Amino acid sequence: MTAEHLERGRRGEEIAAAYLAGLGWTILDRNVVFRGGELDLVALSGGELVVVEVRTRSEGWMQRGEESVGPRKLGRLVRAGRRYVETRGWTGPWRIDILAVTLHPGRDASVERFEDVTAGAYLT
Amino acid sequence: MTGLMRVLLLLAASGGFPPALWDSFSKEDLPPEAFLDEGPGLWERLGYSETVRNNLARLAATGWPEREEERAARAGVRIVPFDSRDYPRSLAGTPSAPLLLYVRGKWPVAGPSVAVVGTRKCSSYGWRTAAEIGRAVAGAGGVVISGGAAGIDGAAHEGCLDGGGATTAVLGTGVDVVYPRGHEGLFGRIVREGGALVAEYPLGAPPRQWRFPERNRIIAGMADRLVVVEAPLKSGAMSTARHALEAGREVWAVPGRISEECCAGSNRLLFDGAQPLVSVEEFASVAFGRQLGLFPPGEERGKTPLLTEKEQRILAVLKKYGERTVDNLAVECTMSPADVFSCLALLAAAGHVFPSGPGRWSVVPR
Amino acid sequence: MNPVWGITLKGMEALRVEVEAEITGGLFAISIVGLPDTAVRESKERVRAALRSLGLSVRGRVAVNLAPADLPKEGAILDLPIALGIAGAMGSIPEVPRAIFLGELALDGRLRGVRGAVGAAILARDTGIPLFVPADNADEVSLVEGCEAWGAESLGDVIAFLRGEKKLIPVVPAVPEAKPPIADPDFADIRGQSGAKRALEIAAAGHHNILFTGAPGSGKTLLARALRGILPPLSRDEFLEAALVRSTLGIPFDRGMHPPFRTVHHTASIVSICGGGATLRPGEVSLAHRGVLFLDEFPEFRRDLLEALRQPLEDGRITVSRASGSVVYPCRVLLVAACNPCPCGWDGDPVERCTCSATERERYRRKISGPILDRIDLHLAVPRLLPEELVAVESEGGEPSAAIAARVRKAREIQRERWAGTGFTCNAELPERLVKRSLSLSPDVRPFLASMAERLRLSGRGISRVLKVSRTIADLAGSRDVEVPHVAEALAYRDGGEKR
Repeated sequence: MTAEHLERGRRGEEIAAAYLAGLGWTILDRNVVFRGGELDLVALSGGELVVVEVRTRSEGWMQRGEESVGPRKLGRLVRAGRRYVETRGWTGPWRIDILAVTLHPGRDASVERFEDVTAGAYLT
Repeated sequence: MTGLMRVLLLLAASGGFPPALWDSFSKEDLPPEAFLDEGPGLWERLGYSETVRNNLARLAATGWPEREEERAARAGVRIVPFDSRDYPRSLAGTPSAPLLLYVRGKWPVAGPSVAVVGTRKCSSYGWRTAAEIGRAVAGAGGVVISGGAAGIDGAAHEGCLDGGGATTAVLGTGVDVVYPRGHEGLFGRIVREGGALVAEYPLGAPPRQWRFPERNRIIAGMADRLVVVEAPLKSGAMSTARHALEAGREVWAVPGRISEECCAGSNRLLFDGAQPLVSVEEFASVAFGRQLGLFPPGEERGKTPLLTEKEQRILAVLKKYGERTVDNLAVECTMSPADVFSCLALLAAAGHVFPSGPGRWSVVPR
Repeated sequence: MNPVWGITLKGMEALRVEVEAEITGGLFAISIVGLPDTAVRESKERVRAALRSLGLSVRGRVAVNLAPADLPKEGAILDLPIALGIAGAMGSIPEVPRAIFLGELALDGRLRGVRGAVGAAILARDTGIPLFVPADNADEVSLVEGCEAWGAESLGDVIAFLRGEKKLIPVVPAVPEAKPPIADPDFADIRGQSGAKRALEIAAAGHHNILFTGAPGSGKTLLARALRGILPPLSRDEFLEAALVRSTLGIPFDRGMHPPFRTVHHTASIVSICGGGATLRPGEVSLAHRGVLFLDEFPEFRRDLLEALRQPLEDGRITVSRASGSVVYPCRVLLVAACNPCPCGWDGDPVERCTCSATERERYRRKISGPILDRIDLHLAVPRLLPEELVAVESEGGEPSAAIAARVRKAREIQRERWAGTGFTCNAELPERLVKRSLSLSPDVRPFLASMAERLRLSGRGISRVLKVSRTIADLAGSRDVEVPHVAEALAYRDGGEKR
C-alpha cells in the first residue's frame, strides 16, 4: 500500500465517523483488528450494533466504493463481526453496513450508506 | 401308413402343386412305394423342378410323413386321401382335385351343400345378406361351404351356425392355423357345432397369397351349387365362380348397386348368365326343393311373438323406403325417438331389421 | 402465549400448522424449519418486506418453526401466520387469538388469495376455530356453512384488528344461486338427431356414461357439448365437493353452480388427467367431479391412461401417489366419449366409401374395447344426416334445452328421493349387486329380459346396465315401476346393439 492510499483511507474513516455521529449513532470502536479480519468502525444505531466497513475512493475512480467488497471480504467481515460480538458480550441484533466515501477535490466528500449488506444471507 | 399315403403327404409339403405332380407320377403306372424307392432319379425324369426334388429328398430323409401323421393325430386332425371312402364324391371328379384333405372337426359333414363366397371388404348389406343365406341353408338342412375369410365368408359361416346348421370352411392355411386372427372364435365354433375346417396344406402352413385362389377350386368342387354375394371384378370369389362353372355347378349371384365396385363382379356374373338371387326364401326352396318358414327352426322355440302396431309401422316404412335413420323413422311414423328405439330393439332381436350403418337401419334381406 | 396457526394442504385436505417464532441477538437472518418447500422458504423475503412496510423492522436472528416437524409444508399460504409469529416475537402485536390465519403477502403488505381456502374453511368449521383469510378468498369461504371467518386486505389490517384499532369484515355464509345451465349449443340449434338427443336426455337424467360413434361431421362433438345445457344443477353438497377440488388448484368456483364440463385432448399427459406431479395436484378427472368428462376421439387415447381410469371411474375416487405419500381425490364423473366407426371414419356411410382393411377395422375396434367400454351404459351411433334427410326432419323444430333440462331435473329429483340415505344420488352410481333388488320392476319385465338376454347373448354386467338405464327411462316417464317398453328402449342403447 502506498502512503497516499493509507492517507486517503484514514481521511475516509474520519469522514465516515463524523457522518455516523451526524446520524445520531454512537461510535463504539474503531480499527478493531482480529487475526483474519479488521473492522473499520463499530457503532450502535437504535438497539442494533452495526459493523461499518468504509470504502474511500477518489472521484472518477472506475470501481465504485461499495462494489469493492467482494464475497471473500464480506465473509471475513462476518467472521470478524462475530468474534467482536462474542468477545464484547453483545447479545443483541447486529448487522454490517458499507459506507462509500467519494472524495471530491475542492469540496466536501460525498457519503453513501449501504445498510445490512448480508441481508440475512449468513446463517451460522 | 400305406405307401400311397406316404407319397401324398410328401407331395403336399413338396412346394409344388400336388395334383400336377401326382398326375405325372400316375402316368408311369408304378406302385406308390416306387416313388420313394426310385427317388431323385425318378423325380427328375418326371420333370419335377429342382426345388421340389430337393424338398422331397429332405422330407423323405427326415421321415416327415410319419411325423406329420403323428402331429395330426395329436391335434385331432384327420387326413383324408382321395381313395378314402370319406373323400367328398362331388370333389372327386373335378379337374385338379386335391390329393388329400386335412380335416378338423366332424367328417364327413352330411347334407346338401351350398358354397357362399364373396369379398372381404363387403358392405353391411352384403354381410347381412350372406348371413341370411347361411341361415336359410341351415334351416333347410343344408351345409354352407366357404373359405373362412373375413367379410362374406365369415358372415355365411356365422349365419349358418346361428341357424343351427353345420358349416365347412376350406382354408388357405393349415387347419391348425387361425387366419384371419379375428376368426379364432368362429373356427372354434365351426368345429364344435358339427362342422369342419378343411385344407389341402400341411399343418402349420401359413397364409400365402397363392394359397387362396388355389383353395377356391375346392370350395367350388365340394358344393352342389355356388352363391356369389358381393364381389368386385377382380377377386377370389370370381375365380371360385369360374371353377364352379368349369365343374358344372349352378352359380347364383346377388344383385348389387351398379354404382358400387364391391359388387361389380357379382353383377357381371348375372349378366353372363348366373341365376339372380332375388329372394332368400325362393333360393332355399329352389335349391332344396322345400318351403321355409319366416323363422328357421332351432331359433324360435314356441310361438313367434306378433309385432305390435308400432313395430309394424316401422317395419312397413323400412320395407317401403329402405335404409332410414332413427330421426327419419320418428318423423315418418309419428313416434317419439324413445318409441322408435324400443321398437327397433325388439325388431332387431326378432331378426327383422339390422343396423346398416351408424344410426341407420334396414330390413333384413329375405 | 397462544400459538399462531396456519395450514398446509395435503391433497384437498387442510392440515393445521403451528407457527412459532423466536428472535435472538446476532447477525440478521431468518431461518424457517419444519420441512418447508421452496415457496415457504421464500416467505422470509415477503414477510420481512411486508413488516417493514408497516414500519416494523425485523432485526437479529429469527428462528421460525413450523410444527409438526415431520409434515411437509408447502405454499405461500403460511406467509400471514409467519409474519404474525415474527411480529409477536418482536413484541409488536398483542397476543394472537386462537384462530387460523391464511394468506400470501405482497411486498407492500397486501394479502393475496391462496389455494386451499375451502379446505381451510372446512377444517375451521370442523374444529370450531375461527378463520382469517385474504379478502380474495372470502367468496370461497362463504360456501362453507358453519365456519366463522373474516376477510382482510392486508397485513396492516390484520395487525390493526389484533391491536383493537380496526374491525374486519366477517365472511357471511351464502349459497350461490343456482343459475340455469349454459345451453351452448342449445339443443334447438342442432338440426335433427332426435335419437341422439333422446340418449343425451337419459344420460343427463341418470348420470349414465355415453359413447357416441359416428362419421366425421355427424355432429358428435356438438351433441356432447350440448349436454351442458341439460345437466341438473348440483346439490349444495355436490357443489361444495366440486369447489373444494377447484380450490386445491386455486381456480375460482363457478358462480352459477353449474356442473363442471371438462374436455380432455388425447395428447394430454396421464398426470394432467389423473392428477399427480410433485405436489400431488388433482387432474382433469377430479376437476370434472360431479360433472362431465368429455373424451373426444376416444380410440386415440393411450391404453395405459384408460387402464388407469378404469377403477377410479367405477369407485368415484382416484388415488394419486408419489414416494412421499398419496392423496385421494373424488372423481364421480359422467363420461362422454366420441369415436369414429373405423379409422377412416366412413364405415356404413350412405355416400362415402370406407377405405379401411379388415385388420385396420379390427384393430380400431380392439382399441375401443377394454377397460372403459365396460363402464359405458349408453352406446349411440350417430348418423351423418344427408341434406335430404335433414329437410325431412326439420319441419318439426327442435325442443330447446330448457324444456329437456326441466324433465331431467324432475327425473333426478325422483332418484335423489329414492336413494336418500344410501350415499347414492343417481341410478348410474348403483353397484351391480344392488341392481336386481332395488329397481322396482314390473312383473313382466323379468321374463322379457331373460328371453332377450339369451337371444342377444347379454352378460351379467350387460343386464345390469340395461336395468339401470331402464330405471332412468322409467323415471323420465314418471313411471313408478320399470315396464317392458322401458327395457326395450334401454336394449337399443346396449353395446353391440349396433354390431352387424
